[in-house]
Amino acid sequence: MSRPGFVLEVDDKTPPLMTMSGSDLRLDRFGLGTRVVYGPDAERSSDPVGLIDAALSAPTGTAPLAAQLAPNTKLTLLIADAGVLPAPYFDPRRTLAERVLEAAARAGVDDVEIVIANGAGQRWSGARVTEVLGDRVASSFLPDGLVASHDVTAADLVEVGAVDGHTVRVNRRVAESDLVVLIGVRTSFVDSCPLSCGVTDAATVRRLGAAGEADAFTVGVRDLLQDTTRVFALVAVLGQPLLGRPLRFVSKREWEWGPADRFSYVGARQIAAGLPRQGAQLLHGGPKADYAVIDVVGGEYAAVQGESRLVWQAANAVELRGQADVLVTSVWGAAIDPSDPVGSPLSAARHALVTQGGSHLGTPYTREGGVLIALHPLRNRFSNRRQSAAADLFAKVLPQTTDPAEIAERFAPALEDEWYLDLYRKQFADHPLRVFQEWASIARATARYSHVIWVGGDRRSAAVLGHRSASTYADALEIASDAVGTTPSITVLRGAGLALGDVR
Amino acid sequence: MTRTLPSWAQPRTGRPRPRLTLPRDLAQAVTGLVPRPRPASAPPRERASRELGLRAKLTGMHLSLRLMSLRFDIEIVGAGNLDGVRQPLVFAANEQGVLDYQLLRLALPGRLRPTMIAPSRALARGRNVVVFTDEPLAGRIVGEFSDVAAGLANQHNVAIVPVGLVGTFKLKDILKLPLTTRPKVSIRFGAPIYVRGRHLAEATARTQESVEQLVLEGDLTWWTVERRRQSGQTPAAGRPAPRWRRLWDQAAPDTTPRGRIWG
Repeated sequence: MSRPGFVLEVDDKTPPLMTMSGSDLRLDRFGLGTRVVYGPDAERSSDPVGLIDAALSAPTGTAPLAAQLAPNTKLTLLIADAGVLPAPYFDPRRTLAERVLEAAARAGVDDVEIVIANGAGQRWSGARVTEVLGDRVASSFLPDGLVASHDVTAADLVEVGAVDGHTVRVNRRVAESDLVVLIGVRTSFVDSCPLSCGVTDAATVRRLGAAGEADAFTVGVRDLLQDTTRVFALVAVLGQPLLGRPLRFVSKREWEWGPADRFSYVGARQIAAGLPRQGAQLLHGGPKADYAVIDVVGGEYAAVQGESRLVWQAANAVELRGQADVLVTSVWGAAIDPSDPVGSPLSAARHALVTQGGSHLGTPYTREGGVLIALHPLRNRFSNRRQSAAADLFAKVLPQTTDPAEIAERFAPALEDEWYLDLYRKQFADHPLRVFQEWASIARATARYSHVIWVGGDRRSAAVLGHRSASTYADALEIASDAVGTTPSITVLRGAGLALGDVR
Repeated sequence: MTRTLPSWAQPRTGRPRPRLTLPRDLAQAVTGLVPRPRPASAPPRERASRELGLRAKLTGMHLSLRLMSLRFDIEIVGAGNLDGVRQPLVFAANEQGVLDYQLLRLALPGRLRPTMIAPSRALARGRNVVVFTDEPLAGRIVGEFSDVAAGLANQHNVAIVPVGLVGTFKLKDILKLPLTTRPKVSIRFGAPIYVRGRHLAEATARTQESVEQLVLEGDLTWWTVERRRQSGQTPAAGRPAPRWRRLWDQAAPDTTPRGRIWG
């Protein structure tokens, strides 16, 4: 068991603390009394085979997997598309898939296919399949075309029923399977929806995005899919990222840095400072991290979602006393974009406002009307291919309006645009629907803050997002002072991972 | 309708330029080396324990493999099967010749290299071990495994990684011949076998099957081999064959097409 997370109250003995802004790492001093939230210690992973076998043989709320398999079973492995960043050295989904396939081979199952539940997100290339599921699975299933990413716009989706008058259609293979084994990882408290959002049609995904998590429609779709599909869920709960040697210091607490960590930090700074593009790409453009597998939960879908959430909460919750006026968070490029060392402004905004700011147990880190200060350069940089829709939203739509409802209404034709759909289907880009929904979540999160201020952020990018920009942290606090006064209580989220705020 | 952005909200122009941060960073690092008390609200440091059970990862060509490539046309198959397996582990390999042990060791990077000496003690100390088959019976290619590999794996709760060595039969004698081409050697790693909860005989039989499949059917995919194994089909080449056939097959030219620039 790793050391749990804790809250550091900055005192005169506190050394400068590490902050990250895109690909820039810094040691900064915070004011006395600032509360800094440290997540639990990152640990090395161990081989999760024992945990997986236990989850398969003693699942929650259903029979063991082996008992559900027969030679004539039509089996589909549904791989949840959880973006784990930084990417793991050993993706647990690979081991999960291999153990399930070995059980299937023992049972003599012949008809096996793999479906990626990416929903409106990027479909997986062959390289991505190999990276996540490993050589064994890729070489066994890819050549025969037995691995397919779900396409929300596909013509062959199968109607499985209606919820609230809305027809729900799902992936054909999933609908026709006798058994679907859902393989996923849990890296946050918030439930992803690999079934409802991952394998349904665009209209359903669109309506789910507009509805809340507890909305009757969301619950209705989930229940409908569970009723019409036999699902065995298998979820690995992951710990915090332990980065490789060159960036190991990021995963450590500053006062515990040894000489090697200090000089690694100096080296990393020199590489990024001396070669701003190539050096940053080398060091921060897709570093890998090791994630401890805390537990593997298997069984009935809803039970597994709930149980894995509790396990993640137990491992990552950090207790804080009272809400703060100001929340400060770093946005590290490697944690928001799988290949770019800095990341796009929209990814940065989602990370700061939704992922970090939204990781709490119901009571947010800041009071209503508080201020969020995020550290990121907000460079207007998008991938032409993967983020084409996001780039256009940022360049053409947001300068006109930031209201998600108005965007959804005025720019609905973009959802049918052949260019974007072609990029989604064939070029591994996000569907524009995903971009709209991400902006809606950013806008929802922004609404509860009186200011969102980007330290070191591009002024135009911040203005386009409807936020503000400041040159330094002190300037940001000065801008914030009109909303929270000159002596605000400040909470800082520190580190590359994600802690869960248990604010009381 | 268009939003009006503030006039001062201009985009940053120009490319990021190199910055000189070394003096300040070094000064900060040196200052940080001076021991200081930890912050009052910080929990104490945990005593670092020696890390056992690191997970294996085989990446790229390491030095000894590069050096071996000068003398052998060496091929590593299924390296991905080692990825993520907790160390230590037991390699279970077929023995064909006197160079097998050294070849297997040199084909692996230092941290993965197995030993044959005092295997139980080596496993307890976190070192990988290798167990070979007995001498194959006349006409057969793969010898029989004793239950040593399964016993060790069970006792130390570690995985067995089956290894198929192909092309090492009589290799020492072949190396003395004035050949114009490098002898072809293939080292094939199979999917790890976890013996916990199984009988030793069952685990040994599984290891035996896996190694035979690797040696005889190395080109097939894992899923095909796994399904064929479950259905009890014996590979055609597993039947006894004359000795000369073994060397003949071993020396067969590689028929897989290699990409060439000019076709």
